Amino acid sequence: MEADVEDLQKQLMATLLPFQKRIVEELLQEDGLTILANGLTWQKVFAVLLRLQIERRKDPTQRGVLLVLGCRDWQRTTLKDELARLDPSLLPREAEDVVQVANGAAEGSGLGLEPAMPLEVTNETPAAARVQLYQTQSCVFITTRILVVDFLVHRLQPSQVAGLLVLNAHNVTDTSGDGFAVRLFRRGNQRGFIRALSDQPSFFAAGFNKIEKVMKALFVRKLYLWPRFEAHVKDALNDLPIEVVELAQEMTPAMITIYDAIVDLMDACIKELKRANKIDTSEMTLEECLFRSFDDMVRRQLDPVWHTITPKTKQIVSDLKTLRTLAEYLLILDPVTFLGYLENLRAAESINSIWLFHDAAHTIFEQAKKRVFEIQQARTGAPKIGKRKRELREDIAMASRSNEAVEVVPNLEPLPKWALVQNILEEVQNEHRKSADSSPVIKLDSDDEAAQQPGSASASRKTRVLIVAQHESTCQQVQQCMQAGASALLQKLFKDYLLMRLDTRQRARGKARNAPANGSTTELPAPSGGRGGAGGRGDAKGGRGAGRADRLDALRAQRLRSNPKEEQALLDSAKALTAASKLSNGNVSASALEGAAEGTGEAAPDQAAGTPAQGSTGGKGRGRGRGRARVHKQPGAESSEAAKSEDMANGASSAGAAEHAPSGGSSLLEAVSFHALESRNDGALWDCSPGCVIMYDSDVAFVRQLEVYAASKKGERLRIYNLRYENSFEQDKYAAGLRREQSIFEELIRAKGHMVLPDLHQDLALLTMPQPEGNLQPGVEENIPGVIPVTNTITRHGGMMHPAKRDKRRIVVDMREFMSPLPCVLHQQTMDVVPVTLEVGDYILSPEMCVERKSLSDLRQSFLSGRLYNQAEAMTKHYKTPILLIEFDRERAFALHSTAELGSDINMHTLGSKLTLLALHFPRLRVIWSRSLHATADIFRALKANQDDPDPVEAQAVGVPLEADGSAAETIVNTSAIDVLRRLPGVTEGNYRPLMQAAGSLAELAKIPLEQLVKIMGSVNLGRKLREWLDAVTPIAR
Amino acid sequence: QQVNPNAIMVSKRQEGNPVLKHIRNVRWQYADIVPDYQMGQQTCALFLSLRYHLLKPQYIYGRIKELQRAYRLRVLLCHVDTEDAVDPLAQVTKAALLNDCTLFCAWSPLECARYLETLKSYETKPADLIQGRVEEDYMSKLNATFTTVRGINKTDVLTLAGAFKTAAGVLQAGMQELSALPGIGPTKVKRLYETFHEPFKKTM
Repeated sequence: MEADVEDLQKQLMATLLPFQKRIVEELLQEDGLTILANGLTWQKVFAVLLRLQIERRKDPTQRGVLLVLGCRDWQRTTLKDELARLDPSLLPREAEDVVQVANGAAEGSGLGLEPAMPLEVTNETPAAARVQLYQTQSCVFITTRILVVDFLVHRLQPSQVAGLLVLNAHNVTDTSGDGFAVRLFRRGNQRGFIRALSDQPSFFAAGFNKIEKVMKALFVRKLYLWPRFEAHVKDALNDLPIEVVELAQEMTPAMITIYDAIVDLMDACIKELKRANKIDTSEMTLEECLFRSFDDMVRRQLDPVWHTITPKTKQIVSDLKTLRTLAEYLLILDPVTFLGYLENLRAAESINSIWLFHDAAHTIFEQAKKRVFEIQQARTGAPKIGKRKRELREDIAMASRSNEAVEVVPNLEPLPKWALVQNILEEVQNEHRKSADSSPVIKLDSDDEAAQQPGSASASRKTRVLIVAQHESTCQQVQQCMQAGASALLQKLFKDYLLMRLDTRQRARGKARNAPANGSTTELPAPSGGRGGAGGRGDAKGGRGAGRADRLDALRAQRLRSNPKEEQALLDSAKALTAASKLSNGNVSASALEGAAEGTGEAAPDQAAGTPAQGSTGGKGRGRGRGRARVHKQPGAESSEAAKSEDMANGASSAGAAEHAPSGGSSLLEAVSFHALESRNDGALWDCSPGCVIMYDSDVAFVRQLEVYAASKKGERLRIYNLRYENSFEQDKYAAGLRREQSIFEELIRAKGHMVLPDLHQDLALLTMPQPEGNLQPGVEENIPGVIPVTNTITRHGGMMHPAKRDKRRIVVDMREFMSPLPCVLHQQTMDVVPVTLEVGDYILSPEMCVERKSLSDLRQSFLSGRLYNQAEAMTKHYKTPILLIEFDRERAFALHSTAELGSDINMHTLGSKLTLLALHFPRLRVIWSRSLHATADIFRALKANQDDPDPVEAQAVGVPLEADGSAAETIVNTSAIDVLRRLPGVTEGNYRPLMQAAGSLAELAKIPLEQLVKIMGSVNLGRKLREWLDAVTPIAR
Repeated sequence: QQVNPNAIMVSKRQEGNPVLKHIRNVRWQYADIVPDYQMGQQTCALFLSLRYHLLKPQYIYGRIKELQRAYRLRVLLCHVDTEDAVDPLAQVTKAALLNDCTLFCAWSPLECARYLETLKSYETKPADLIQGRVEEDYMSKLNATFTTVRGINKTDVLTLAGAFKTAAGVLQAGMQELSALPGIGPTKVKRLYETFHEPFKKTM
């Protein structure tokens, strides 16, 4: 048997690159934490480790299951894919039902196991099945919470576990769920292995001694570092036959203006932040704030005082985040979507945000609009930008008074990168054609095959192209763009945009008619809707300085006035659009993309030759393209797929945008695949095996994967096109990302050099030793009447420190609470933690005491949603002493709110006021203000001192409605959905349970017709209220 | 002396307490009462400074005992004025919990005063404010509903509403449609989808 495993090991190792081999060997040799540079394909390493374990379990003498912890969904999929690639024979079992496998394997237990794909154990796996799986499986993916619970209730003995593989090790702390699981495992099993891995070195830069803390929590003493600059990695990955083509694309003038405006705004925000003076701003540069980690940096500095800083500073921090997102979206979203996003942003943030009132913000909006359309006044034709405000206002007033005709001129600017992608694809195809021409036989061959089996067969001969972008939506868009042409795509988007406005407008008008006085308040506080109350709102915010309020008013007024005619023009074109599409309906088929092609006709002349139209007289050709759609559906296409792409191509070329007139019936997208980085489906690279990769968005990790890919495909040529915008932060971000990682690794190497960790045996001995009772001084209890003083107990035991009675340490804890670190700390403090599903409360200390735990943010949230009120009500009903535990973060200041927030009047929106109201309505509710987790544990213990232990079975039954027929079945509760449900209009305390029962899920609820809703809810009024609200068309005013 | 029903009654013991000069939103007057403050027939408060508690740890028990069972809501208002509050606060917490007092912590005399004022002025206030009832107009309701899902902000609500037209449409949105929206990344998509499509309760 062992020989088999060794054979397999050799075989597997052969598939790895030398440095990957070493990583595996290191981990097999001694438990440890491996930190891998991002993108160095951790999945290969782990897949080999898993495969070996599966092989080992074939041997009946080898007991114990391997558990994979801390795995994200996508990581699990990636690992499984990798395993399947490693050994396709594992695959078939995957499809089988979990329970079935468990049963089937149980029958044959003792005989050793057939290799099979590891199964997943989540909260959806019934307990009985889990017990089976632990006994019969070789490897299991498991969620930390379930593992902890199963360890605690002894469904799984640590001795049954062969070892743990911990992913995302950077998340492990001694109080995290993973840390808890590792400790429970180590306490009962000191021989099993623990192998941990992280490919996010940047996480180890956060906080003091982070790396040592993680290693301590994992009970490992070896640290393996694998930066990109490590010698073995270098050997494997340098000097590969990779041809990198860097393409720097200039942004369009409008984009540059917007980009500069965003940078200005960020600069202004940072200056403002520096003025707030609470933080060390030496690290805060414009460059830094382009990274997500900038938020972390600010948060880290502000966290200790976060709830005491002024709302303004908080707003700046959030504004910075918004601006960074905006800078990112500027480069990846098409102009129409970008404008839509901006408008939504403005509508949602108008009152609070600071940046929106900056002059630069105005520039952003103007330019963003200009990228999509321009408003032209028939009389002057002058663009309104650049005019002085007063002039402008008069102008507009005049225009609207005289009913001057204005019209919308679409000015749709394509994203510059689109053209680049197109050029590259053409280039690749040309090259291919050239090489194919020299050997015509192959060409014929490949074409036939491609027609029958698009994608797979042609891969062998044609250069497959992989286009990589960050977002799924970008991929879809680029694909559509290559199929239908940029202008067709933009036209379609613009049409949708206009139609949405039309919808909104009609809706708003209907409302206004119903309630003319109130019309504006029911709409959004959108800067450009018909909002009468805008000025008043600005005044209400008076505390922020009169100057700003003035500006605010002026801006609002200006926008308000500039809008009617613009709005009108937009609506007119939207209407014209619908009319046109109705007329041409006969020719249009159902496909959405054909719709796009059809839309092109309307402004096609503008877009001729694909150059951005500048002050053209376009828009007049509206409707001209009506008959054009007839061109499509040419016979002679070999397969439906080909027909479709032909269709697109034709549509596009007739729209006048596509100079890339496709030749020979093949489209640009032949042999092209797309990969969205956010899908995390890293296997795509290996499945597709491209010869050419277009990096639409650059990404360090993916470039490394490409290197590994190229290294494992020795000899094959790989060309990478890297698309970047010139002078944008994309470039900086990439370089700075590399620099950061390198410096973090250097730091880690230094830390490894003089790391002092206690001997592992010492740690383990501590772990298994009965721990001393907490750290409360005896004096504390002495002073409290009603608590049996511990001192007495001590004297009774002859003065020896002795733990209080052993049997009074049980705390019943709700399953869901195992997401928080408190149960772990309670357990560390030798409390007996019993997990069950609780309907009422989070922690049951005794038959009389029930605790609801709230962190500060939870507290705020559950006051808003009303959840705390309901919880307090339930606790008061069922327990003698209902307790609200307010948990403060030890890292942060101990305070409920800042003095600034307190103000001079009673403000009903502060936490204090709400807490007071809660106390007035539930006078029996007690409150614990806990400074830290450990303080909570101490208080819990003291409170329990003279109380009976709670009964888990009873606690579980409390508050559970009778219909559950007493069977304590495990249920998974979708809390988030229930919260949403309870906020819907017409849903009350009395009818939400029947609704849940009848509907099943929110999506299903949305489908229930009125009559049935009325029946379920038992009220015509409420039923109608809900149904009408669900079906109301949203007034998205822009 | 006349008793003003709208005023907080203050025990003579509290004379000189800096908290008093911060009580401005509500009237107050000295009265002969057992607790330190009385906000009505049903509500009273005892004041305790943590620093004082460190000096005289037994004081508060005596005061609580004096109250007997006279009030429905007995607030123990604790002024946290020591650097290291953990141990003394643990003692005070236990004292309050085991003797039927509701503990309120405040970090400044102003905050202490604000609790007293609020207790008085909210004496008869209904609980609407904390029952999650929001304004009934459509957009606030829509915002309130969808921002309940973790991570979803108001901009996202607008994006969702714009894309799917009706609330029912949003609730039925598919994974693909959701991920096409700007500003809604994979995490949010997953959260939204699971909230809307996973059953409320699943029994195994």
